Amino acid sequence: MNSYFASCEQQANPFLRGKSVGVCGKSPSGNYLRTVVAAASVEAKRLGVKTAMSTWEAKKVCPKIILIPGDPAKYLSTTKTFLQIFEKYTPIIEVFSIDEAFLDVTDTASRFGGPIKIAELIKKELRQKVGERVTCSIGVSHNKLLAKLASESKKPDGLTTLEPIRVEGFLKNIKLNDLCGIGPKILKRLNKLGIKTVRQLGECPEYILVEEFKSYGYTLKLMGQGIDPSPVIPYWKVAEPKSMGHSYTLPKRINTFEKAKFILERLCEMVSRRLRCGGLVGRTIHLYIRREDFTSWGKQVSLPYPTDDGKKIFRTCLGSYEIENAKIFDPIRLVGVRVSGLSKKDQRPLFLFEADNFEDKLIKVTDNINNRYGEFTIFRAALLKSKGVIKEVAGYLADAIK
Amino acid sequence: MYETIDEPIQVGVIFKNGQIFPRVFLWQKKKFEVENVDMVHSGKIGSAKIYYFSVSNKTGAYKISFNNQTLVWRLEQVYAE
Repeated sequence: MNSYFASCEQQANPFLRGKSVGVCGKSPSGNYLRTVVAAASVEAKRLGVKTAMSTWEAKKVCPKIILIPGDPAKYLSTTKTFLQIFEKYTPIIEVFSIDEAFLDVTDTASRFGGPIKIAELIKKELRQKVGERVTCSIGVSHNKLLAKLASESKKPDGLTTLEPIRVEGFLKNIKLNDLCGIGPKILKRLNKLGIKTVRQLGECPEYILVEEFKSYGYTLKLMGQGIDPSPVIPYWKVAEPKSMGHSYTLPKRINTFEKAKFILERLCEMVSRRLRCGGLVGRTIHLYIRREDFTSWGKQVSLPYPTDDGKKIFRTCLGSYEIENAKIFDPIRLVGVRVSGLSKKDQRPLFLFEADNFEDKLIKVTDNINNRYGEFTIFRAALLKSKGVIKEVAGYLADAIK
Repeated sequence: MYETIDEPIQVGVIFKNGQIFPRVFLWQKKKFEVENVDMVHSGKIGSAKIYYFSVSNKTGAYKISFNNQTLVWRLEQVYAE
């Protein structure tokens, strides 16, 4: 999808069309100073605004940019709509991100007149169901790597096919970091090896790449040759998550950890609620803090038994903080919590004594109420302090596509 | 700039081909004609499904919602330049 969040907003509001728009997070005070532009409209991009640019930087580059808060429910709903469109053409759909998907139409293309016809039909139906403003770029090729590169070669509203015979010529014009899987750090290491183009990557002896990147060297070599053996993994086959977490950039600088505690407590509650919705429990709790100077501190603790209780997760975080006696923090910018070592809750042994099951019963009752009337309809009084500070998110991509 | 309103409203709609098209709504005793339904999306609050309609006329853009359990329409947001 092209400039996805911004396009959705321009579709929903005709007064934003043709204007430079940036979709970002919003602090409770209504200012956007400490957030980033999650998506910029095509108009804003033309003026130099880039995705993930800080809002103050975006304002500097494009003073007329209209910053609006993101609406996750809107984007998730639109994603579901386009996934429903895709399902007409193939059951093998890999959801790569909220606005990207791979479709394997090998076995179904002939029924619809070929892959290009399918791409045209998808574009047409998307316009009808979502609107003229929300456009997509489609790449048609024989593997995921090339299909993605092809889709990115023409934006917005592109349709590019890349036949095997044209691959060599096509890759000549591609930058190394345009390849999905080569970020700034890998790029730097490749440059150190004297590899500056995709062609050089493809021609580089495999042992050099393996020496530098271990097993990823094999993948890099194939990428340089335009080969991607990875299959399209349908979303109904995706493995269970390995961890779940939440982080939050504080709306203003906070000088002591004490003042960030109430935010952390809500984050723990949000994580625990998602664990319970997925029928999961986790053993390892990881607390992390980012300071104003962007340096980080983190500590992880493993519990003797797995949990899905927000209070327990929070207390473990506090404990790990106190163990480290990390009271010398500079002003805090971000707090986050992650739970890993996940397993199915129904595989966890029951507590021996009835009293230990009391919290579980209480959580079950509050969950039932929240399932019926909405998130945070009922919650522990300790969470009152953070009410309204963190915007409740309507859902998550992984949860939504199931 | 968006302004959050979150107030109940009365809405006149047309049902056509399995879809709902809001045509007019009353808010604070004022009548707002809907010229375009620009986008429809849905979300959930607890077990209730909420349909959100982004609608507009020459003077402004509005986000109105319909709760399928309480059957209540609300004006969620108003966009004013």
